[in-house]
Amino acid sequence: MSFSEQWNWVLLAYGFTYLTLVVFAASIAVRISHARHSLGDEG
Amino acid sequence: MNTRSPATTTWPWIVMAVAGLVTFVASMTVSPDAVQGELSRIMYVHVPSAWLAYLAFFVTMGASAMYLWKRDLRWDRRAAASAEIGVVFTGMAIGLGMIWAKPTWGVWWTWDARLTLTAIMFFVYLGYLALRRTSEDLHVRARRASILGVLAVVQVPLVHFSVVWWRTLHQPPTLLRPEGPDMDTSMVITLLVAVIAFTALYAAMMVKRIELARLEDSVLIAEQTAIRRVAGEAVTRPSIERGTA
Repeated sequence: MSFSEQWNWVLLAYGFTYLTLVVFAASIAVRISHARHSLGDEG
Repeated sequence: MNTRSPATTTWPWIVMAVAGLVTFVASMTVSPDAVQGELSRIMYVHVPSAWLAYLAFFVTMGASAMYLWKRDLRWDRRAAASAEIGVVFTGMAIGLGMIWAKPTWGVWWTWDARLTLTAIMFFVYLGYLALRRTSEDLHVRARRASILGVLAVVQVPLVHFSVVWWRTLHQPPTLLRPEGPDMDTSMVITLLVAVIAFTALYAAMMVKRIELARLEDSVLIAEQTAIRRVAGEAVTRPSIERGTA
């Protein structure tokens, strides 16, 4: 396997990792915001 | 109602960003493996993801046991937070394993003992999260989930030792083995840095996820209180009308 092909797999792995982490962290932030809104606390 | 704790507002997001950055820089600057070449860099996110899944499910077990002992909902919220994070990291470990498997084994998936048991563990903990949605009574929900949270952890040693107990395509442990790590020192140090960074990431996510669980419980209680108030008015109004007639 060529050097560039290996890097394609590495970039796919790291893209998957960081996309998953960012989406999960964002989902926590959005749910916290939604819950605060439901409780009438906008602060 | 003030639901914001100043101590838990911003710093976990900063810790998450720094942990992600440290892992990326460390794993991209270390020398590649002599056999696997650049593909070995996948190890620095695959192994910490699997480690965090183990840690998260042990925390779920401990917090669930504490709930069953103390009947304090704070322990249930910790268990739920850790289980959800554990499911995410188990999914990541499986996904990264598949991405690593394709160029090295030639297949995305094989019914190897390690892979199969990890997949079963992933679905059992998804079931744990689903079980938490079967009741709106906080203590009923907590009791059911805690029992599963204590029992389900038996899968963690099964997954970890599956590569020792059975003949598997997945390689045996290279770091945690009696003879010492079977890797170059620079790779061991990079892997340890990534594991520590991911553990910090887990801790930061726990802080925010527990905050979310507390808020969601408050919303549920507020909704249930509102429903009881409306139901109470519906029951009492006719008797008032009869009394005044």
